[in-house]
Amino acid sequence: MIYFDNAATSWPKPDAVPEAMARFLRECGANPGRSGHALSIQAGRVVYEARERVARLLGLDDPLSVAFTKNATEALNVALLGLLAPGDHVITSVMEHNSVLRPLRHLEERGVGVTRLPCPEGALDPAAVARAITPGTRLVVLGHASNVTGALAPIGEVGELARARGILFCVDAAQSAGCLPIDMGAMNIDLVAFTGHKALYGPQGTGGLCLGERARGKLRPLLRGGTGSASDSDTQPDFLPDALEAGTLNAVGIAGLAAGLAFVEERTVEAIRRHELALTERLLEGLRSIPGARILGPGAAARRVAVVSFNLEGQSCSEVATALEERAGIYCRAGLHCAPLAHRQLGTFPEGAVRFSLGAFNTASQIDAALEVVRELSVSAKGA
Amino acid sequence: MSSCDAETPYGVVLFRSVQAALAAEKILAGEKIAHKLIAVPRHISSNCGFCLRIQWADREAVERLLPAEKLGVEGIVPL
Repeated sequence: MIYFDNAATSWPKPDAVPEAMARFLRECGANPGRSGHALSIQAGRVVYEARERVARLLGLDDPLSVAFTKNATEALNVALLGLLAPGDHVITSVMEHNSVLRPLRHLEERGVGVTRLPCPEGALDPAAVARAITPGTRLVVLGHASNVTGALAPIGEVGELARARGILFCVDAAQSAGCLPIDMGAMNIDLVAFTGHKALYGPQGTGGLCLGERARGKLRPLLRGGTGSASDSDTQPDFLPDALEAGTLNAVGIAGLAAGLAFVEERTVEAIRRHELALTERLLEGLRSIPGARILGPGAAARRVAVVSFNLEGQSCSEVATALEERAGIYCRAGLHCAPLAHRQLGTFPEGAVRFSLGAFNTASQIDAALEVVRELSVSAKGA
Repeated sequence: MSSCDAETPYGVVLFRSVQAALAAEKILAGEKIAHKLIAVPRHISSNCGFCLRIQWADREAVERLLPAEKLGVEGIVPL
């Protein structure tokens, strides 16, 4: 079996991840912060350690400004619905995932102005962001890397621009946290939404929102409820992380996430990036040599994360994905990848594309084996 | 020495957030200052989380080491 669906969720996980989760449940599975006994304290320490690891990885100055959520989608909803009000203006791109597009559509129907910048060939021009700014622009929100083409957004340039204009900048790091260097401070990013179950190698049900200094105190919470703090009041606390973490956290998931983060830290983001870049180059080069294969997105691997989508002439993406699984046990994802505007931009709507997404555990021989099967499929289509 | 010192060797550092208490725990551990996380005593606060018990004699050092505003320190009181 060859697993090429890491952009949906990474697999396998490092052994330390399920081990940490089992250990948490067996040895300290109490509520992290609702009681004062030793098990509760131990559970709290596990959660705090995960905050520290997230902050360190993303260049955030304060671990208490990491608010855990169940995934990047929830984190983006917390950011977008918490920050934007009728009359505000927000800039985004057509390459975004529905986790950005749908909350923004919802807000647009309630009086928020939304500019969705086109991205010819899937690439965003930072000058287009500058031109779209109005006096009412409150936020720019962009995916760091497209989940369809893998293309990198010009985060550095946009961050600088947003900071200079006094506009908050939110980055959807669902496809990049753990496999691309991120430094919120150096890159002028005010909010990062991350997921735990992709390139951080944690379990599903984990993610979070990191708030830089300029974003703190500006979000209305999405949920209100128990926090274990200020218990004498029926008003939601205004301090982080409690303000954005109502209800008991997924502490067992966060224990697994901390182990995934430790794996990434130990291996280093830079080494993971080098490994994935080499595999992506090999995959792109191989696909380019297959007649009838149309690759979406940038030609250079350095301008993507390890995500490569393609189509084979004369075949639907779902046929190709099914054949890949049936012939060689290659697991990938076909379709629109929850990014309808990106596929419209790329001319692949509504058919979609086949997506190979790689991770730290994939190998060059897996790439070669998959390319061999794609080549066979291409030849058989021609012969048909 | 105040009468407090003579009667109560311990004090507690109160935090607005449980996670901040854990952040403070790491700071004090790093500085080798004796401490223990305990449930917030009901006679001191109605919060349901925990606080840091310290030696009352260390309170000034603790005050210096913990960034009060960032950690939301609500006070250091004798136990």
